[in-house]
Amino acid sequence: MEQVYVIDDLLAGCKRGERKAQEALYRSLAAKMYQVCLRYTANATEAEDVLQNGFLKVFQAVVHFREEGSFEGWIRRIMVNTAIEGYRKQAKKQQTITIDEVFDHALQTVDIASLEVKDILTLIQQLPDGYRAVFNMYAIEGYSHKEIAEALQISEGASKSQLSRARSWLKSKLVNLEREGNYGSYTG
Amino acid sequence: MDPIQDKQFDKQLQAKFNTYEPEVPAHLWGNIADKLNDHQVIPLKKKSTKFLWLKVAAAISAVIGMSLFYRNQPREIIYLRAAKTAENMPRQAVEVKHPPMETVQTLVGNQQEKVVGRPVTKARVRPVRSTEQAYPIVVTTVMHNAINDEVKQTAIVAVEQKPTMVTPDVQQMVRAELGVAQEVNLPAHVKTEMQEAPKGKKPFGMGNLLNAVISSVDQGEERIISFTNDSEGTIKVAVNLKALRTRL
Repeated sequence: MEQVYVIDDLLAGCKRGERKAQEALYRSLAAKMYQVCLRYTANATEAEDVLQNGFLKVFQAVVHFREEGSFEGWIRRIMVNTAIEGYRKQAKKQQTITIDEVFDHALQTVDIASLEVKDILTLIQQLPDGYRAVFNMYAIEGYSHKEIAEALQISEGASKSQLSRARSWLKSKLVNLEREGNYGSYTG
Repeated sequence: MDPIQDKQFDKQLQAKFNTYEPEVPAHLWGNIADKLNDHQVIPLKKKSTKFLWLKVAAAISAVIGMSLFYRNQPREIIYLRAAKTAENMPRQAVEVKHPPMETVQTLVGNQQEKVVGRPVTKARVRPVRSTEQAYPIVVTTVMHNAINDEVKQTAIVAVEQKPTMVTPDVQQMVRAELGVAQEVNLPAHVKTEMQEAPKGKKPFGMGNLLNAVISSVDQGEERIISFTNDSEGTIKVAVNLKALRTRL
């Protein structure tokens, strides 16, 4: 609650274009948003670009923020939209990519709590762009298939299909990681 | 795949990432700040209270200064140019009160018919403009009708000098020429006016002025009161009382 209060205080300064308020907002939310960017991109370099462009959009569009919802949630949506901008143009092309070979481990259970976040993140980054976007938006962000379909300009069926395949592929990779016990150094 | 397992899998992932905050490269803010400088985000208008007291003081002093300026402006004095009209006041009253024709009728005798044939009524009496013109009207009227040209000229010359000199000389000359033994009996107040008028200006009274004007207007004459600026005559106000009276 205290952090929300601080961020809302910074909102007024950002609306006035005060550089100190902008920097304070960046400092307080950059780590959280960088994590989002890392999940939606294939590597750290792409994530940095998305984070940078995302914050630029935030500072330019903050005057239009109507304060009807959470300021942090609004910034998070901007980061996600910035990350998936590239997917929209290549949506149909991405759907042709298949990950059929991963279904061997679909029914196995995985103890995620015992895994390192970095290892899970690395596996997510290895998903194809479309699959990665659908998985992140549905499994972690909580969007519906309808929203995902509109955002990525794909059908709802394609969204469900990609989610299922991405989840199975990720589980199989995590099972392998868990079996190998090679936590913290998984590279795929 | 079991949907329950999927939901649990998703929740576990959410929990993992909710607490994960990777280290952000330090140079990123510098890049963002540079881009912001390039794009120049337009800030909202910020109300500056820095010089508010100065603005208030300036406004108050401006109001005071303007009021003092207008207060100290030289006031234009408009003088009534009613000197000539004021001089006419007593004579006007005399003429209205006492038509001179009655006296003349007693003087002229057999010429009475001609004078009576041109009766002077109050309505027809034209207001004269000066003392020098007031009484000569009476005398010249008589002369024109009753005596020869020589007497007439003499009487006019005598009258045109001063009213005080008019009464005895002219009357005597008229009597001598016409052979009239009776003395012209002018009313006492007329004589007084004739004697006092040249001595000095009568004190100007607004009541007298109004009486003179209104009386003449009552007689159906047009009377215009005009006010002009004393120095350059740039301000002129004229009131036609007859037109005003007719309208009223």
